[in-house]
Amino acid sequence: MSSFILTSVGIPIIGSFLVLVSRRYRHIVSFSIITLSLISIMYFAFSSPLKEALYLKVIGLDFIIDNLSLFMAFCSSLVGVLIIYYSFGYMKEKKHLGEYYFFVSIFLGAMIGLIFSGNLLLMYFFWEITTICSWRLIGFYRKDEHLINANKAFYLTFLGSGLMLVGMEILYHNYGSLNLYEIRNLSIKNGINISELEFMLLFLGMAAKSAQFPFQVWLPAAGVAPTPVTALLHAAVLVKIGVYAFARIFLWTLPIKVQFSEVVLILMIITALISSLSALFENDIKKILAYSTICQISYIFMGLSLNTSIAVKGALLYIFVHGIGKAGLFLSAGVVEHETNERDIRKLGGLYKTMPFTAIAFLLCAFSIMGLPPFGGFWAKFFIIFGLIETHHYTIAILMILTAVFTMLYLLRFFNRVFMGRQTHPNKFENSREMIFTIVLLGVFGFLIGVFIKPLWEVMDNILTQIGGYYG
Amino acid sequence: MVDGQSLLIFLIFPFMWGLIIWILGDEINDKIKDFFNIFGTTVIFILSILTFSGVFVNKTSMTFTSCIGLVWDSKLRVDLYSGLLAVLISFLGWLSSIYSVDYMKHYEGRKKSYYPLLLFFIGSMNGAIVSWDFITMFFFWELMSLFAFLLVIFDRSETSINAGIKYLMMNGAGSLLMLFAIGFLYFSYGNADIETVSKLVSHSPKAIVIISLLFLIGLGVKAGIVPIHTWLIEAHPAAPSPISALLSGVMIKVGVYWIFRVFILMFGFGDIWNFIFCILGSITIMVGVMMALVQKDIKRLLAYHSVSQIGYMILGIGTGISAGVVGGLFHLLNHALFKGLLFLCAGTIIYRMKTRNLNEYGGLLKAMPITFITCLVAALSISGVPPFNGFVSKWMIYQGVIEARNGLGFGMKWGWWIFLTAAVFGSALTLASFIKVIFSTFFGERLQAPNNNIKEIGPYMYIPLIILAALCVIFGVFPQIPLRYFFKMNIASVLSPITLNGLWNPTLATVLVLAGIILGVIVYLLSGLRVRREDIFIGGEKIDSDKIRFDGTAMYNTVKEMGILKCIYDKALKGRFDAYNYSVELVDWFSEKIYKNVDRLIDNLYDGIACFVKISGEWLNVYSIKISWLIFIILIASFITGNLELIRWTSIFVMLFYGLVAIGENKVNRFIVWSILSQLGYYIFGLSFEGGKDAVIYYGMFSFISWLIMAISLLYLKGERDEIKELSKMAEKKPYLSVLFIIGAFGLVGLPPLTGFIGKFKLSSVVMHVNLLYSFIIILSALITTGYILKVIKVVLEDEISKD
Repeated sequence: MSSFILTSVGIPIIGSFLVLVSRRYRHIVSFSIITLSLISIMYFAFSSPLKEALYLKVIGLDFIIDNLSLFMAFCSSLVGVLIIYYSFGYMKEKKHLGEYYFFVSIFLGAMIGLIFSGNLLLMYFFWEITTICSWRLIGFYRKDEHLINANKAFYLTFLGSGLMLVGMEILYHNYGSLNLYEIRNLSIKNGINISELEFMLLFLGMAAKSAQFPFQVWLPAAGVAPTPVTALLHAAVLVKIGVYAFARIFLWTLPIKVQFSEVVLILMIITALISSLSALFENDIKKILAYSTICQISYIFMGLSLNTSIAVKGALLYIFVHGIGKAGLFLSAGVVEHETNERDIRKLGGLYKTMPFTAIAFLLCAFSIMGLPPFGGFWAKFFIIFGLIETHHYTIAILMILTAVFTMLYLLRFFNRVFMGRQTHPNKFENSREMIFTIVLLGVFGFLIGVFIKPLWEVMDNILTQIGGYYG
Repeated sequence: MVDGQSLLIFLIFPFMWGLIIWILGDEINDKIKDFFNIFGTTVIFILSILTFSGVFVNKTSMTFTSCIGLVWDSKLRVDLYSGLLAVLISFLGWLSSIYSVDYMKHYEGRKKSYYPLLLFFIGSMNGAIVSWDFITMFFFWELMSLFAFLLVIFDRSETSINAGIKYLMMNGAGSLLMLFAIGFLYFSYGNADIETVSKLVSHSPKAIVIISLLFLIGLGVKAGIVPIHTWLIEAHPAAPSPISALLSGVMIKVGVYWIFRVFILMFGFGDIWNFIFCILGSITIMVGVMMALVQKDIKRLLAYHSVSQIGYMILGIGTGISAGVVGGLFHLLNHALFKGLLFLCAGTIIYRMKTRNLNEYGGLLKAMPITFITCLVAALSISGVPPFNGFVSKWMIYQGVIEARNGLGFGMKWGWWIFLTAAVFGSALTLASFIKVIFSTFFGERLQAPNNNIKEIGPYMYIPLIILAALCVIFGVFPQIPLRYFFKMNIASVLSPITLNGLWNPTLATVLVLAGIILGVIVYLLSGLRVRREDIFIGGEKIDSDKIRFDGTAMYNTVKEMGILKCIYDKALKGRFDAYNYSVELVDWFSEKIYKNVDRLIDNLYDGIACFVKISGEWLNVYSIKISWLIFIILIASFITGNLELIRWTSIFVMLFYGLVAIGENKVNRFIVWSILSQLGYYIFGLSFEGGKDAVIYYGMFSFISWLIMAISLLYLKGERDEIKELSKMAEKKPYLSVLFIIGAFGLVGLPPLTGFIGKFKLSSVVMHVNLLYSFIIILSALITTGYILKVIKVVLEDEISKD
């Protein structure tokens, strides 16, 4: 078992230093270490199905392996591998590739480490590694604007994690331990619930990391990063950290009370409305997608905070579906940006003729994020809204449906402006095989998830059975 | 032969076959593709008849459960109602695929994507018809919207894309509302299965009003009920003509079908819903036909007529009288035939004339006799002139409305004559409008010099026309054939038994129809006379009377210019009554406000705080030495007095003050000094707590080492330079030192992976035992530390390595 942790977490983190050493093959090294990690996760998940959550100590650190963490690690590393493959094409002519691949691989390694960590302090440890990685990657091009935006992301997420640290201290004060497994046992045995202050502090940390109201502004600003990095931040790693921590702490360790979920719902509906309307007004291709992420993440938070199994399952499903779909959207937008050097949708048009694959991949992913059946996004959104209805949150459900309508509006507006209409860049074609392969693969994935929803749904069932509590 | 298997094949075959054509793509030439496609649609048509033959013969209805890869086992239903629609869809799909062979020729090389889309579209419509639980129904419903969208934008012109977007927006919004309704239904009844739900509804209705309102909007958008019909006007003309025929002929009927299913068969509403549907129906009839009257674009005109005819179906179904309901369903069938025919006729005319403007047509009678005859049949059918099929179904609808007056219904008693007037007058105006179409297309002269190239169309195009026209006549002359089928429908179980005598005792209705026709002729004559009179003298110049051309669309300018109507028309043509335009404007306005006033506000708030911190740092920096003395004195004093609170707050002040001063610092040397002074504040602060000693030692060791690393590397980095500003681009020149500096700096903040964070955690938890506030202050001070180190790091990193 500990060998599993060493391969899945250790390989990317130690291997990322190998990236620095290997000069010509750094992209290959980076790609292969994350692939190895993905393979070990998949091998473990398929070879030994877990009945109980597995708690173990590896070199003195606490780790937890259960279906939730396996699922999440699978999502992140899968999307991560695809994004690294995409970078082969996108980053080809850029400088400082060693730095780039080093940070990307350690980023993913830290993410996987965070997912498996069974101790709040260990979680915080990986948490801040991702902060540093994201800070450096957002400001990768080192222009003045890039560095300022990277610093903004750093400040806001650091503010959140600082608050979370205080929350952890209070938890430590109350439970005498930071080990999640022990806290869970204590809370089950004594029936202790989490207090308002602890909840708010921990939740603010997650909200800052996942760019939710009132911390949402750093994510659109982070669009200055190289596109694969943006995709990584949005789809695989950064914003999903908050979501995962929410699931790990507030579903698995210390099930939250109903009144807390009301707070989450209200914050999330504000986030969703602000971000989806802002996306309608924004003209920068990456910022539109960034606002879209903020809105979709609020769906996931909502689903997780409702104490019904169907909404939680929908939200977990949406983590995966959104990862695939949003990565596809960003990477398609990346192709457009890479070839045309233009990011304003008003100055783009008619790209369908010269970039048909990009357009189709974009549309497929957009359908998934909009929530059109039979794409994966539909099921996830449906179950989350369904959970809202089930718990009698009719107003919020209607507002969420409204934001789904807005999502449709801005994604179609994007598609309409960029790929349809008057041709602005008749001589720009899709040149990179790696980039096209990745986005088409992601688009098809989004569709396949929706069609073969049944096996995935069973996975969600297994996760919830293991979480137990409300959902057992 | 009704079995689950043939039904499944019927459902899946279009998708498989479409996929095959799509995969073969460029491998096969267009001729083979045509053949493949016609073969495919023929098979679909045959399959539909085979699947539903049992229903037709024995009027059995059956429910199947099967899993088609969805979460649920989806239920499928084979009965008289779904049979009617499924056969109709397959039939019209078959005809339009034949028609497409020639029509789609000028989309060079694009048949490979057109045919699969057509097959998918037919398949998804069939799916939406036979579904027997709402989840499956919604699944196919959305699939149908998706393929319809792709077909509407098939032209890829600006207008068609805009129309497609509008279509997707409105339908998407509608179906999301319906999704909500389905969720609500599922929650209230624990089931989305139609049969179970309808049983539960009759026993213990729950939350019916909100569910039905949501359903009404969701289904009404698709059916094209006024005022949510506006997508139809844009989308139907924008699609290629065979697709317009399918959209108008069957797709909007899927909406009507589900309205019928949900409201009549499932919920079985009485009185008030009947009244609502009758009102909606009448309004739809009138708005549709009035707008059609003044259109110049032939396909737009037909689209408006579709709206108007949908009104008849809604009115018929809404009466709740068997004759009316059957009439509505029969009209659904008939409308599919004649509206399909009309769109195909319009397609042939456009195919030859290359324009959709009625004004540029004329004199096509000789060139295109088949088109003329079929078009005439369709026009007479749609206007409800005997002996064509439209007459029979409209007649039944009139009868339903008349019978409804005997009901105890709310409003029906008094409202029936309004509905009847709307229906009959609508018929008259339809006729008037089609006289215009027939006249300006086939008679008179063309604006441009007659083009000899205009000739009759090929057999692929006229065969579907003839088949449809023949059916219009047959169903009109022998309405018993289809009606026998309709009477088999077990509507009597829901409604009162149908009374046949009313059907064959139509004095009142006949008189009204005749009156309507006369009215239409009068309108025609009046307007004709007036336009003629005006057109002769243009600019006071006398024009050779041989060359006078009678403009077909000007025929109803009289109507257009009638007082109040003029005002309404002007606004309607500008889209002032289009709810979509309003909502788009509203959303645009709202998004701008939210973006500028909320999102940017929050952003500016953070920027403002950052700016404030920076300025205060600079300001404090000026007085740094003086304040340092003061701090020194206070510290000494507090140590002497031994007041713990005083020591703590002084040290907090030290942390924050020197942090801020460091933010405002410009010189490297002084920056290094301020940073260690700020750390000293931590040490004193920690030591003032009981048990803080260990934490301070732990923390102090790491922070001091980090500071040393930072300071030394910074000193090496700066070399001769003094100002922080001059460190710019150092990361490029001295990368290893810069990395060392950054590592040291992050260690100072206490950021993992450097272990300083454990010390900070320990310190913070010691502090927390006394007062929670101290913990927050430590976080605040860490933020300020981050502020000053990131400020320097930014300068060091500053560079431009992007390729542009």
